[in-house]
Amino acid sequence: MANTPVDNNAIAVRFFESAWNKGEFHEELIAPDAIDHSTVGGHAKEERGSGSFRQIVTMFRGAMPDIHLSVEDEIYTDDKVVHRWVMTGTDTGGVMGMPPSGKNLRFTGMTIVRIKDGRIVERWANVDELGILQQLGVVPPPPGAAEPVA
Amino acid sequence: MTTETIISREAAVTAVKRWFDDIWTKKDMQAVDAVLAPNFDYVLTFIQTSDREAFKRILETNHVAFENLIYWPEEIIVDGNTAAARWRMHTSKHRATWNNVEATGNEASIPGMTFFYFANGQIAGVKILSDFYSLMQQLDVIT
Repeated sequence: MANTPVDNNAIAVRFFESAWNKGEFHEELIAPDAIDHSTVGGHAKEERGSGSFRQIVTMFRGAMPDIHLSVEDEIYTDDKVVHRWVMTGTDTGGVMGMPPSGKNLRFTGMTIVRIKDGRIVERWANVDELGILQQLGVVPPPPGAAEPVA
Repeated sequence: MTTETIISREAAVTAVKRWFDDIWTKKDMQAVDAVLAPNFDYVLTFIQTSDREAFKRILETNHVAFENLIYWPEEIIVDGNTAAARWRMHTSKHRATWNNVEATGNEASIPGMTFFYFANGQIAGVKILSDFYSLMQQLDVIT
């Protein structure tokens, strides 16, 4: 029996919140050949499996042990789930190759996943990486910039 | 007691397509008035306005800074009065100062995602995640 949109959202929420907030990876919720289309460091990539996701989560959780993902908006359909989210945490270990700043960081992103037979089979993510670098003081904010917003 | 009107899926998809094609690519100000609510909320990570006229000035500024600026959706997902889109932007030339970055003459192309909120059949607000990190790399601001 096909999963309902509500089921699909529950899969995405469990997968992402467990990984980001607890460091627990539910491999049973992602297909071994799932395609990751996420952009990292300004470069688009296309990788299979959960390795790239594990790597990015591990990097951020190492840099920000108290990192917390909060989903602010969601859409779920027969095969897609969209989350617009906010992450907060303290930079004690150094983010994106930078030395530790001790700053409380807050940044936004969006993730879209395609779900088939109860597992994530495709993922797209966009993270405000420039906003992180601006908060770290590596890149100056644009003129008249507001505080980072949701 | 009022009942919220839910936009039809077809109308939502049309509005999202017009956002990218008529508004962002063609800079059609009549489309801005037709598709966006008067107190339209435009939320980028470092800019926010709650005024359709202010948004028009942002649109104008971007078209001055970037030659042949085009946007196109790669996927549109709709549910009730919300929608989301994956999209790409391309410019043939960064020809004027944008966000303190002087004209580089560089071509650029970036992906992004937008979350749409509808009310009374119009787009009442958007929250946008553009890959500005990549754009700044393509404009030689960061490596």
